Amino acid sequence: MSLDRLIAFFTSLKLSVVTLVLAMLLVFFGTLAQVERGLYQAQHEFFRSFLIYWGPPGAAWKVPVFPGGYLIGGVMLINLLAAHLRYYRTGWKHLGLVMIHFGLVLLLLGQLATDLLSVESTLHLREGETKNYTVVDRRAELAVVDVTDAQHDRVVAIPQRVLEHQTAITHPELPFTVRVQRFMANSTVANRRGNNAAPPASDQGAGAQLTVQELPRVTAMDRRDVPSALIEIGTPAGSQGTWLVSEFIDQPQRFTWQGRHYELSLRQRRDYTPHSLTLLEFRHDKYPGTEIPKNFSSRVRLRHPQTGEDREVLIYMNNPLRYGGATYYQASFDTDNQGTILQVVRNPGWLTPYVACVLVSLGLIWQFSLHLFNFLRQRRVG
Amino acid sequence: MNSFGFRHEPRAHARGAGCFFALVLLALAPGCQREEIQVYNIEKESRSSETRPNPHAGQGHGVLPNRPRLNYRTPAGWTTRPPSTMRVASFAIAGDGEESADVAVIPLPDMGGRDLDMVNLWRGQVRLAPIDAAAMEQSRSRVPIGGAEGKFFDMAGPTSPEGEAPALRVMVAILERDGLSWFFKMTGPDALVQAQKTAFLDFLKSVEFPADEPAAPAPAATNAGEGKPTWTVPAGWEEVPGGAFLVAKFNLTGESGATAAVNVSTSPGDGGGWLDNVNRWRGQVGLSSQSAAEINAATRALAVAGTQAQMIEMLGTDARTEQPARVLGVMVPLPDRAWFYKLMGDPQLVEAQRARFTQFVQSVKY
Repeated sequence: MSLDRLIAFFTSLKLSVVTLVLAMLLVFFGTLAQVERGLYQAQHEFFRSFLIYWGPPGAAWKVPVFPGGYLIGGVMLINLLAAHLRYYRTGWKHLGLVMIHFGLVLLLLGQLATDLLSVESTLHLREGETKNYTVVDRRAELAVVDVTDAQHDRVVAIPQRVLEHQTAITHPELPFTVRVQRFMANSTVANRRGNNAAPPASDQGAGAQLTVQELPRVTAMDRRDVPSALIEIGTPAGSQGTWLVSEFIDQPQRFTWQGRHYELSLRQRRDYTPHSLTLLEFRHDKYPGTEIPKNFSSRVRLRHPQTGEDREVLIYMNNPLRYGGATYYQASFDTDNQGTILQVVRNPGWLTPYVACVLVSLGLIWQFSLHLFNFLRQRRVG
Repeated sequence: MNSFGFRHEPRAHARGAGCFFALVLLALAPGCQREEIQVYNIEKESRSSETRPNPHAGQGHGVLPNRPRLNYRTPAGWTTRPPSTMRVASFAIAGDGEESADVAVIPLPDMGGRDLDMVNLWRGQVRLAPIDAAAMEQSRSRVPIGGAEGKFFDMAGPTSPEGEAPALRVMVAILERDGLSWFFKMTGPDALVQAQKTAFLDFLKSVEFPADEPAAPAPAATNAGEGKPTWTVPAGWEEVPGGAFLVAKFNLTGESGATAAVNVSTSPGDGGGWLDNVNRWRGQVGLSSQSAAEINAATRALAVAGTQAQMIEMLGTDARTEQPARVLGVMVPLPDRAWFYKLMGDPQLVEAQRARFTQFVQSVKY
């Protein structure tokens, strides 16, 4: 394809129309797919992909059948930029078009940035409890913690993606190899009962008295996967045994190697912050004489050792705490009203849709006003 | 605009656009680092708050076993390590250079008949292929452990395919005692473990189980001993200790020595669900697993404690006694946990006790 034809292809209005139609179809089918696959799986397959694959049920192969969100968005972005560059005219008459185009580009890039950079997590606090981390609900990590030191713990956090894709994990901070014998994205763990025919899940730690069973990934919005993994600690002197790590197992499992004590736990991914929050009081007010909720609020103490900040904050519905690049929303609470659950959103691109909409709106107003004034002027002249 | 402008202007702009995209990608790059291994220090204090019950505690099975004890003589050259969650005793044996072997003593309940699973687990650890029961029997020898006779397995593996890791050997002695399987395991480089064999055998001989410490306090699970409900026990049922995993156990005796037992247990959440538990019961009476549809078709509802319980019946052969056995199983799902009632034993006796069993389950107040 010659450069001219390439430029003509990427700058054509037909391409804009085709991508818009494809985007509409994608949104339609992606929304329908959420019924079967759940929100997160459907988002992943339809919108956070370049191609959507399909294969007959039970078959090992799949073929791409439709462009995914990244591909359609990417082509749309190239089309917008290319058309803008090709047909760009200077002068105030075209200022509106420039603003509209730039607004749309910003919207697309902002969504990409949100997709890649935003992190949603939760902070569960019981009254009186202090935490300096939030947990990411749908991602797990294997924490290998060196607890030998009296003052500090050294944490090596291995994310779920690494556990899923690597069978032997080494790291300069670890004097041994973590071998992932099996990773189960969703699982159930049960005590081995006396007459249970299943072998123990592992030969060390709690798993020696447990059985583990892999489950299909959950699709319902109100449920989530509970991962487990069977890991082996490999050292130059040989294997130290296998451990079952699972979010079902509450306590870290300890082992010792070369005089240092380590704890293993598979847990929800943690994002540590330089500041901490303490829940002072959670209130669940009801209208007098009824069970109708009037107000949910969390009174928290915010402390930042590096800045010396120490103050109380009241978080309630529609009044989140914005601090340290994150927004803490009142999301839920414990059934005994003694604990709160805050949703924590970090989205560096949160302003882009607002700026983009303002730009597009100003551009449209500019462009239509220009036409209106021209029309009025011509009528007066006429 | 002429063709000259068309050809060159866009290219000049395209370079600018390329730089713009590169900048955008650079700006977005940190987002991808989230999925890398992170290393950081945390204060002991802040970590302590993490050991509170996790949000899944309602579904989970946290395990903190109570360990039985034993006495022994530590061979020369063995370094005692602190016991861990599972190990009641643990030692390190230093070899040449950085080589070291590991000795563990682990008591586990209800492991009888699982030797093959365990042997194949250990064989995997020393890079050996699994074997069948006959080969396992051939490889088994006998060894004295604390005045009793235990089973002994010695497995030596090859060097790793890459040649970077040394050949490994594992020696395991197993002693069945009072419902517990005691595993004495020495693992490490082949030569070192072989050199320590005599010390290991001496160690096994020196083992003593303290008389004042019952050897079989089976590890406590989270579901044991929690909030025992009240119930009316039918006449003729004899309550017996059920062990750590049962809330209650009753023995039933019929005519001509026929026996049956009622087991009551509970688990947080849905206790693994109806399907898995029914298939577990089916396995106990030698029946193969069934699909959800088949099990649902055979399930009957039973009104209990203001809710509906599920009930099922099956007839097979007791895998342990090899006698015909009938099972009546009930699951009572409560909001936070599930209760399981199982009547299992001689088919005629179970049939005769059916009404009493149902009344018993319905009499329970949680």
